[in-house]
Amino acid sequence: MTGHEEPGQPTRGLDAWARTVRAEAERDEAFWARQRTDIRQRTQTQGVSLWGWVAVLGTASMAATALAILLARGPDPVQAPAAMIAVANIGANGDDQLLMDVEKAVLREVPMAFEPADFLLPGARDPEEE
Amino acid sequence: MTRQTTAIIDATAVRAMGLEAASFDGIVREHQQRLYRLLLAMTRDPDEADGLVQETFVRAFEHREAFRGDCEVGTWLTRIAINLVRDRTRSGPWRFWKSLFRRDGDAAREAEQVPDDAPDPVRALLAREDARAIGVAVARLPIRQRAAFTLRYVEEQSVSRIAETLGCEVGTVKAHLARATAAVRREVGHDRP
Repeated sequence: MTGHEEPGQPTRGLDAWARTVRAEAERDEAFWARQRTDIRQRTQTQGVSLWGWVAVLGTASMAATALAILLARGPDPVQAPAAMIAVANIGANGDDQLLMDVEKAVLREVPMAFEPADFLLPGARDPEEE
Repeated sequence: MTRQTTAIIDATAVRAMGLEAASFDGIVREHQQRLYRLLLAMTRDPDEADGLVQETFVRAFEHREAFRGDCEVGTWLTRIAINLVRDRTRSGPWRFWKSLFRRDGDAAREAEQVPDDAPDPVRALLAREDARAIGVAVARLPIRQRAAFTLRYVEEQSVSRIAETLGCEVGTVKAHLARATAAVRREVGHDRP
């Protein structure tokens, strides 16, 4: 076997064991090629995953920065109520309408709040007026 | 070329692994068979040996910057491989049971692998039986003794080279070998009168 007989060496069978291991370890070229491919893929995957992590971390930090900026700006100014916006949009035509409404209110015999009662009880009105 | 020069070239090659896939592939190609043989002798499991070879190179790739070039790439890779075997042994009790159960089943197949070059069939049979028993005994050795024994008798490395691989003194390697040899003798039954 190895030629190095040492004190205490279990001589019988040691050669055979070493040859057994060497024989068992003999594989065809396809095995070694497949092993190299697996190793190459694992190292390349590792590289990709590293860059993948870098990309994920970059995206996350950008998102966090954007969120921080948004929060730092504070809440948006209070929106004007829709009615105010509607009035503002009425424009010049709205002024005419308003004048007409005022005129109607002035000429109204019964205050607008009492109009339903007046409608239900027409006799309740002052008879002298009739 | 001196050994130191070889180590410097190896270090350059290892550092280049990250830059050129071809360099790394060359290193794998050069060392994969030897590592597989070593790991097969230590684990007695072809699948595990295959996985450990791959893991060895992946770890080497991961830590290529840590390689200082104070030893040859082969020695460095062997260290990684032995550490992986140690970690695997620690990590799973099921591996212990698996190895126990596979021993008897695969022992006969392993024994058949012994090249039958002995002229005397009885001697050949004895050699096969002894090889099987030695394989079982080696697998039961503590990790450093197993590594020293395998590197010495399968890889035929010098004691000083083994010391460099294991990161210990020559005397320590000799002590590992003596203990391993005694344990194997005991298991195989060669110490009986």
